[in-house]
Formats: sequence, C-alpha cells, structure tokens
Amino acid sequence: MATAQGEAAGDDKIGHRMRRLVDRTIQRNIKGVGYFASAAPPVGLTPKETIYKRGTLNLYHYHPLSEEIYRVPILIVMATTNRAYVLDLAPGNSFVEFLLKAGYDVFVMDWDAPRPEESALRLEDYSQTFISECVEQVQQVTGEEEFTLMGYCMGGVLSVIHTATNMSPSIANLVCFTTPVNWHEMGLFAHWSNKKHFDVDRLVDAVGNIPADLLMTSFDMLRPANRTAGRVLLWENMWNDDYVTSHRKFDRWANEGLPLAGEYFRQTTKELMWANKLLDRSLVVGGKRADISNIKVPLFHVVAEHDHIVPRKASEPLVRLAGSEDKTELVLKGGHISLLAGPNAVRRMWPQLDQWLSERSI
Amino acid sequence: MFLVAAMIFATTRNEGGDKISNSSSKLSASALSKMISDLEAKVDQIATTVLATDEFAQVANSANSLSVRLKKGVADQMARRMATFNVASRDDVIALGERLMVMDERLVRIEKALGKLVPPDPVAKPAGPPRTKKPPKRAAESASPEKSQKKPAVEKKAT
Repeated sequence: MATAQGEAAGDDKIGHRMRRLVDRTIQRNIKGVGYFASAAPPVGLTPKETIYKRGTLNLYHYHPLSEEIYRVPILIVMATTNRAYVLDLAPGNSFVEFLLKAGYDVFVMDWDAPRPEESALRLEDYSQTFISECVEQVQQVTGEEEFTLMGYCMGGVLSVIHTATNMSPSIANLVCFTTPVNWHEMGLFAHWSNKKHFDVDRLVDAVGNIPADLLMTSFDMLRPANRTAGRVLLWENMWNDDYVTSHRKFDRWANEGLPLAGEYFRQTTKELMWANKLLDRSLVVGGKRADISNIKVPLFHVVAEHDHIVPRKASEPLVRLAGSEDKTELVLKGGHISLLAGPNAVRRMWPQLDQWLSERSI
Repeated sequence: MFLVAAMIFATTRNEGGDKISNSSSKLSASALSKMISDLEAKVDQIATTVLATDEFAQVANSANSLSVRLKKGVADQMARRMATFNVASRDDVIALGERLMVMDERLVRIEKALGKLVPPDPVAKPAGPPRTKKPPKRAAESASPEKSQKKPAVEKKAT
C-alpha cells in the first residue's frame, strides 16, 4: 500500500517534470524565432543630456533622481574600447541609476568611434585635454570646484595619469575599477603585443585608427569557448525572458567595440605595454611625469579575483604605489564586467562604494 | 534534451520514483549550466596553451600584417581609379576632415582666450536639487567625515 502510494507520488513528480520540459521546449522554439526577428533591446535609458561634445568625446549629465544630492559630483571616465552604456544597462541593473538614487550628481565621459582624421590623437589628448575640458564643464554646471574622478579599466588608467600629472588640483577623490598598472602582467595581451612579434608602427602607419574588430577578436581570444558556451546557455534558457533580455544587452555591448585612435594606440603599446612606464614611474605625458606616488587624494580601487582581461597582478600595484594616506582596495569574486554590472556588483560593490564615497562627498 | 530525458524515463520507469527523480535532477538547469561552464573552462585551458606560444603570436601577427597590407593595396588601387574619374578618394576626404579639426581646435583656443578677456556673466545658482545631502548614519560605524578622511590605508577583502 505504502509502495503504491510512493509510486503514485513519484509518477506525479515525473509528470510535472515532463510537462515542464515539454512546455519549455515549445517556448524555446517559439521565442527563438522571436529572438532573431526582434530588434536589439534598448539600453542606457536613464535620462541624461549631452552637455559637451568634441569629436570622439561625449560628456553626459544625468538628471538627478533624489531630492537632495551630495556636494561633490562624480565624473566617470569610460574605457576607450567600449561604450559607456554598460554602466546603465537596464533599470534595476544600472550603476548610474544606483548612484543617482543614492544622491550623487553623475557625469559620464563616453566615446564615439574616432574618425579617420582623429588618428593623431595621443595619450595626452585623452588623459589630459579631454578630461580637463570635461572637468571645466562639470564645474560650470554644478558651481562646485571639487569632484570625484572615477575610471573603469582604461578609463581608470586615463584617470590615474590625469591625477598623477596634477592636471586638476580640485580632484576630491579617485575611484578606479580594474585599472592595470603593471602592464607586463597583462597575460595574453602582453604576449601577443610583444615587440618580437608585433610591429605596432607598421600597423598604425597602414590603418590609422585600429579597427574595432581586431580589438574585439583579441578580447574573444582570451576565452575562446566563451561565445559558444554563451550561445548554448542562451538556447537552454530561451524560455526565460529575463535571462534572454539580460544576455542580449550584454551581448550587444560586447559586440559594439570601438576603434582606437592610431597614435594613442601606438603610445599605449610602446610606453605602457612594452616599457611598463606607468609602473616604474617614468611615464611622461604632455611634458609631465605621471608618477603614481603623486596621487595624494583618497583612493578607492575595486578589482576582481577572476578578471581575465586585467589580471590581479596587473592591477595590484595601484594602491601600493599611490601616495594617498586614505586608500582602500576592494577585492571581489567575479570577472572584469560582472564586477561593475552584475548581481555581485549590485549586492556587494555598489553598496560598499556608496559607503566609502558618501563620507567623502559632503 | 527531450529525447535524453525520455530515454532515462523509459529505462528507469520500473525502479521507483526516487531513482527517476535523481536521474532527472542531473539534467536540471543548474547542473547543465555547471557542465557547460566546466567544459568551457577546459576548452579555454587547452586553447590557452596554444595561444600563449611564441609560434601562435608570430603567426597571428603575420596574418594580421598580411591582411592590413592587402587592404592597403586595395585602397591604393581604388584611390588611383577614383583619381582617373576625378572623384575624391578616402584620403582626400580625410585630409578635409583634418583641416576641419585644425579649425575646430583654433575655435576652441579662441573661445578660451575670449573667456579670459571678457569676464563671463555671473553664474546663476545652478538648477537642480540642493547639494546638502549627508551620508546616512550607520549604527555600527562612526559617521564623522573628518575622522573618515583621516583614516589610514585600509585593505578590505569581500567574502
């Protein structure tokens, strides 16, 4: 009797599982067609206005989302290889939205693809001229001198150079995410761009701006199976609208890479990747030495344990070498992107950053 | 997925509900995700041993160099054909763009110089919420901004 009842309960479970399996298979097929037929999902929806534009540079000012805001605004410098909307992917998964709701006044430096005639732009232009011009705009709009400079990946490198060369004396705080300092520890990137194999002069002289697909291919080659695995998981989860929407947004961002200005790429390769001048403090930009020990402002650096693009050894020296008395390094599980825009970021990094920054923004 | 699940169902039908539910749980979404992640990590590991060799770097850079030379060759040929038809080539358009950039930079310098010569109008109080926000008090920590800013170097590791 008990065995018959057990078997009946087991049969119900099996039936339920089989029904769910069939349901999901049908949904997967229907939604799979919809996936290919529909347009890319919208991103970067938090209201903003473009307050300054110069060639490849766009400066956005986001509309405040709280009734009271901190005195010190934030200027975020995005990496030059990708679009800034990764910071504002979707309501509820938007770093910018989080900062706005927490009471910060947020400005973001975003990039368009540099035009062919912008191939002469140099590291000085990106790390000094462009950031200084944006700082002026921020100060005019806010009426405040002080600001927090915040940079992600290569944007962090530009921010570090800007601060270390003392271009803006009114920087109140410096916040960096996965910012490489020891470029000899950049793993496969360092290996592939070794001067034994890589003639950067020939490439830049031939093409001017470095094509986006060349850069994106090299990013993909760091984890060759990632795209295929992603597609398999996407198919498996095609019945799940939330999963599909999130995947499409990240996928869109990963595919919308930007070309790099030729001279800027040449300089980055020779002076950072080959000569590692940022680490040994011999980098000279715009006639000024970019010595990390010159950084005296409060510093907050967030790094990811499993970052395959900027390994831990590459980013570790920033906090160690900075001359600030008040400096914090936060090491989180996760990767290069999930550190800033993923569930772990929402739960861990964002609140800890807010806790640190709020006390230094009044 | 469906066929595999059906096969498992058929072969284990007579062995009791528990064994069947154990078998089907192996095919749960989280198990499949883990399997794919493990497989991805293995493939990446094997691929990296090849990608990290000097030979691969040499071959990849040579292939890239060849591709760039070919593209440049095609572009040069195209430019010659366009010159024959008296049509502006890509290089001509880029040169125009560079001249525009130079003019743009001059205008920026002129604007800055004018700004120094002619004092700007007094800035009205910027619109927007008041900049009076204070950090929320946290029961476990001191909220004094002066104490916080004088904190010595601290390393934190998230768990």
